[in-house]
Formats: sequence, C-alpha cells, structure tokens
Amino acid sequence: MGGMGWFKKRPVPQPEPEAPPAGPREEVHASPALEALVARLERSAPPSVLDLGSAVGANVEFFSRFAGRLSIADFHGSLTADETLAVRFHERPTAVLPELLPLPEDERECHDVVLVWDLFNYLTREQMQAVGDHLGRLTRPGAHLLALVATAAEIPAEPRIYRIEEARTLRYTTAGSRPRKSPRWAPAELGRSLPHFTVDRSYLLRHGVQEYLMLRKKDD
Amino acid sequence: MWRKSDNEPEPTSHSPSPSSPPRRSSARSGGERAIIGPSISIQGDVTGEEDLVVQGRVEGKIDLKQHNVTIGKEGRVKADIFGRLIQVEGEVRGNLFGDEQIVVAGSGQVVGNITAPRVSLEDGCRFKGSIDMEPKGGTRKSGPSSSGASSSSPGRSSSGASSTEPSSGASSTGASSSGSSKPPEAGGAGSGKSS
Repeated sequence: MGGMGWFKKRPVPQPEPEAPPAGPREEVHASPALEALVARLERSAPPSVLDLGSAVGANVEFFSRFAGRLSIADFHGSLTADETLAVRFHERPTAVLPELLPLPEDERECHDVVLVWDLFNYLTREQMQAVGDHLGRLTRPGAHLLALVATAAEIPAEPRIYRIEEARTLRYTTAGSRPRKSPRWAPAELGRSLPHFTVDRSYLLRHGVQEYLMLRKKDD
Repeated sequence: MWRKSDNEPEPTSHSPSPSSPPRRSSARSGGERAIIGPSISIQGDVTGEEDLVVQGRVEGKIDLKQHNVTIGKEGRVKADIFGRLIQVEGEVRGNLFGDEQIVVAGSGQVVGNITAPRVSLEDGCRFKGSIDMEPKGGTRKSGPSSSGASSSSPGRSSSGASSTEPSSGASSTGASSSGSSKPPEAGGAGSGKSS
C-alpha cells in the first residue's frame, strides 16, 4: 500500500458567493383600480388627493387635470430621513401619525382620495391599524382609498415609486436591493385595519398584487 | 458743397416729451441679479427689484414677486418665498408662491405648500406638502420637459374652489434689497440682519 495515495482529500466545497442583487428594473402594469378611481374623479368636483408616496412629477401632472389639491406625504421617505421619527413610529405609531399626516382643522380640509400604493406591505399589523384608523380622520365620507397589497411571497426591500401613465397604467421601478418577505395581508385583515372603509372593488392581478379601491363610510 | 439731402430722415429729439412720464425701470429677468453667497446668513425679510439667487441661509421671508428666485444647491431657506418664477435646487422649509411657475429640481428638497399656475417636480426631488392646482384664469400647468416634470394640460373649470392667492397678503415694497449681497459674491461676511 503506497502511503496515503488511496486517500484523497476531497476539496472542501466552497460556499458559492451570493449573487449580487439584480439591478433596478422598470415595470408597467395595468391598474383596473386606478382606472375605476379616475372614472369617478372625472364625474366629481375637484378633489383633494392625499398621496402617501413620494413626489413624482408625472403624478402631479396627472392630477392637475382635476384642478383640485394634491398633498404629498412621502410617508416612507419621511421615516427613512429621520431615524428618531422612525423609531418612535415603530414604538408608538398612533402618537407619531399626526406629525406624519397632520389632521385637518375642519372638514373642508379633509381628503377625497388617498393613494396608499403599497405602503401597507411595509407596516406591521399594529402600524397598519394605526394608519388605517388615522386615514379615517383624514378623509370625508365617500372618499376613495387605493391600496396595492402584495399577494406574492416576496416584495422589494422598499416601497415602489409609482408613476401614473394615462388613466389605467402604473409604471414603477423596483429597486435592486434584496427582496423581503411579504406580509400578504388577507382581505379580512385589511378590513380590520381600516374600520372606516369598505371594499368597493378588488382586483387580484397576476403579478402578485391585489388592488383595492375602498370607500370611506359615513360617520355614525 | 454739401447739402443736406432731402431724403435724410429728420433727426429725432432724444429728450422725452413733456407729456410722457419718465419710464420706470421694468422688471428684468436674466439680467442683473443679486446673489446671497454660501457664507451669508440672513434673518428677516428679503425684498427687492431684481432676480435673486440664494446660496446661503435665509430665515424669514423672501418677497420678490416680479422677479425670479432661485434657491441654489447650497441654499438653505426657512421662509415663505414669493416670486414670478421660483426654482428650488437646495432646501426650503416654507411655502412657495409663484406668479408664473415653480420648479423643484432633482436636487431640491421642499417641505411646504406650493401655489402656482404651473408646477414642475423633477425626478429625484423631495417634496412634502400640498400643491394647489386650481387654475388661475383658465391657465393650466406646464413645466420644463425634464423627466417626471409636469406638462401643460387643460383642466376642468373648478367650482367652489379656493383662491390661489397667497394667504399672507404680502406685497413688495419696491425698496432696495436688504440683507442681500450683490455680485461679486460676498464671502466671509458672516450673518447679516435686514432692516
């Protein structure tokens, strides 16, 4: 037997380097909820729109046709820019919400439309309930709420920036960072978090999103 | 030998006729402008009769209704701004009132409300506040054709809409600019207070 020749040290398998995250990509999808919302706005008085997303010039242009008022809250951006605020929101969302979304002084300042986009996908249950309750105070009866809730298992690391193209198309950029697990809120959970709203229309789309167009209930 | 030709035009008098009032200098744009340099800090009201570029700090009010106001990339403003065309490339915490147009460039950050016939938000800008979109006299928004910017589109006539006039009722005094520095840029002057 010649030494240890019969024994060959097997090479230790090296862990494969993690693939770098894919770069940002732009996607377009038809939005039936947006189309339904726009159809109603065209028959209404100039609306007050509250956009919880970040400022997008194309969206400003789009809503200018309705000659109303557009309020941009940049909800996620505000938390990202202020770590102290983000920590406070994580600990006590109800207490922080008036800073993020100031309450109207009277009903004339209430909003007719709220664009939540995909924000709910990035909130805990407690946060979503706090936001849902707060949105009830920001809107007048009959107001519309548009939300895009993920049904896919994974979502981008951060909320998408949605750009309205025409009345029924959304273009958005998905950041190249690693995806995260989606909460996949069920309709019942959404309903519990938004007690002031009812689901008027809901569309389950193939690309992992369920669109909701909700209506603000009348106050008791 | 030399005779004045009958075809030559009669020399005109350059002195103003007694009946015509002297002309006031009209608003100039793209010509002279004042610059608040990056080392200048002003607390108070800034008014004037020329365009203004702010690269420093201003806290108070900027009222240049007939002129253009540019907040440069280094500008840090905590004030309401009144101007004809307002362009924000730096930071503003305050309300913007543009008689013609307001542009928030990609590098701009604005926390406050915007009131103008035309509003343009360029890609990359940060904005938090309200944009009053009700048309003034039927004019609609149009802005520079940068990506993400708004463009003109006819709007519906509003009913029961609130006015787009600034609520503070500020008016330009027409006085010479106070607390601002003229070109060349002043540096190292420290903070200045307006009268």
